[in-house]
Amino acid sequence: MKRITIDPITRLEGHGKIEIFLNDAGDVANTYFQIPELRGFEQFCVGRLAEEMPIITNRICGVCPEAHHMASVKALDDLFEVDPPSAGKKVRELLYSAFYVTDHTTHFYALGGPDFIVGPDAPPSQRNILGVIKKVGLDIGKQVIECRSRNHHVIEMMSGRSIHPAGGQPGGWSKPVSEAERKEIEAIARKNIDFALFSLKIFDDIVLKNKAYLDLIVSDIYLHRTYYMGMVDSKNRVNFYDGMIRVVDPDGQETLKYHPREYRDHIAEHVEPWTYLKYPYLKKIGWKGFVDGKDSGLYAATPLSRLNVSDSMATPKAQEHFQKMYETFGCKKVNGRYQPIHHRLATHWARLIELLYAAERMLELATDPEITSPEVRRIPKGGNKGIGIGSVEAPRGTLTHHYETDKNGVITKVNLIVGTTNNYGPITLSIKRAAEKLISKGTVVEESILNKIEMAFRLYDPCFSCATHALPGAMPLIVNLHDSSGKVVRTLQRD
Amino acid sequence: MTRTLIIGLGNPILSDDSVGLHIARLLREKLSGEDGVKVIELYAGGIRLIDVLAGWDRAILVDAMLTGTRRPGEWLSFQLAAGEVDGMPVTRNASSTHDMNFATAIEMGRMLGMPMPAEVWVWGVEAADVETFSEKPTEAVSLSVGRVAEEVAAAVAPRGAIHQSAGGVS
Repeated sequence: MKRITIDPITRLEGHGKIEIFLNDAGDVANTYFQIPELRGFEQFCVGRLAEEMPIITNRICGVCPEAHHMASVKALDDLFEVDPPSAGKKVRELLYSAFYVTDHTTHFYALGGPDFIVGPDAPPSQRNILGVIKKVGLDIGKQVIECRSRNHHVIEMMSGRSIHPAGGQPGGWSKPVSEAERKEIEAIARKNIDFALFSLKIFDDIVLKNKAYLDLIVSDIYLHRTYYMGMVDSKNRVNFYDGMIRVVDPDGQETLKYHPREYRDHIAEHVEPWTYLKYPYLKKIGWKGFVDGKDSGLYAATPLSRLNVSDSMATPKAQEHFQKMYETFGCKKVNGRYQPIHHRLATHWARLIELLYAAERMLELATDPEITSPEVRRIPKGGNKGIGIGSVEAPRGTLTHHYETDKNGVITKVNLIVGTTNNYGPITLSIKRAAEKLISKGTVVEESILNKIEMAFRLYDPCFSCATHALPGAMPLIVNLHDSSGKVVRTLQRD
Repeated sequence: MTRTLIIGLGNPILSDDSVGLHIARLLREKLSGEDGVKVIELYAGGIRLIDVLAGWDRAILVDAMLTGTRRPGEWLSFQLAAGEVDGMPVTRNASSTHDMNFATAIEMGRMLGMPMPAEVWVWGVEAADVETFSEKPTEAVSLSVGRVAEEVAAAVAPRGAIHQSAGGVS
């Protein structure tokens, strides 16, 4: 085998690393995925007052501080045994909907979109948001910036800051929404709905109507029949802010439904000797390794997973697109609900449907008569029960904060299961599958392999910033290819 | 008058990653009352920088860097060339896992006709540890905070041209 090595540069420790091992026949034997580790988060938190956690945890990273803030205040509600008044919950969910609009918009246009809009085989220098804008027009670039900026304005107005919000308090929110603010938010929500519909149209025109792209989406490169996890409301519809955690099996049957507080009864973490990453799996099914199917406890928690576990969407336009997606994939309805979509690239489509849902939900909440109620907080009575657990759906998967405290409310233990962590197993599966499809009998690695492998993990929108409590800056990537003796025969790198 | 925005970038609870924020805090005191100069702290880079940068003539980014070729606490400053996206050096927080690096952000802003700064300078301080949660930078990096703040303040205050520099505290 020809040996080509591109020398690694200095910032190796900040890279995501993928190791591909071949067997004697030159086929893929195994793939490993490693990311940098951060240390000492628990020690950093222990000894602090629990009330500080919503501000500390939202510093973990700059990508989804709002999700950490919400999960954290919900854990404090639980710890201090205080149920926020209805308006307090609605204010939280309204802010959270605005956040979802910004986050999903960013992913589609800056991260996921380039693969499709510019094309999976375009050179990396064009496969970025600048390439997207060149292809679809300057006006769309302006709309993306405007969309982010108007929603950050909402977040700032409601929480005091546009990044790292500070409005959440145990028992509710720190300030009510005024009528003037409500009007402004309502107008912004309407614009968001138009923008989401427009984004779905772009996806339809550029991706779904292009046979090559559609073939890629429905091909089996990125197909895994796993379990799915997501939060649902009382009618089994997608909800980002509150509800029960529902898990369905690869056939779409409900396997579990539990309160986030009970997560330890249902989720366990598997440890592998070659990485410090822990792989969550369903206790009930058990760990069977990096394989899919009904007997393997691996589950995914992504936008597609959330739609897969839900019977429907809670808002009308999102529901139309939900139906369209499942019909396009030919999913049958069993017991009144669609069977899951296992083609992982559909996650990009699901993310846009969620964008539309977030915008519609924002409008519902902004026009709810209760939203301007001054009753946004209930003061805890004092004392605590020693443990508080809270979950929300972060854009990248179910996010759980779990704190334990002494009788004075001083933190003694912290455990976070962040969105991306849920998907470690499935990400490893997707990378392995992509490698297997592109390497056989020692014939390897045309340049597109790096791109196809990147596409495999990009669809999960992994954010390792908090998954390892790490901030590697960009997502630089190194792929090492090993022969059957373990020797590195090729290194591919993307910075 | 050249209007200058100084941005301290970093994560406040990740050891040396916070060095840009500490320098910004000192600069805010040193430069208070200076006309046309504003100092801010930012905990996230990427696309969010576009909004922040719009409307300023000159931007100065102060951030941690990991070159691996310098000793912790050593710093250097350099100007980013206009229109150069590929190969533009970026410091640690000027990029983002979630969207785009700093160079792309400026390029995108310009492409969309937003008033991006004509002149962009970066002060990078070599970090020793950016993987441990702590509110305090390591000793070598802490020692550089005051010196870098002085250098940036001196570069900005006379409102003349900025020159490239490098330094360290031994």
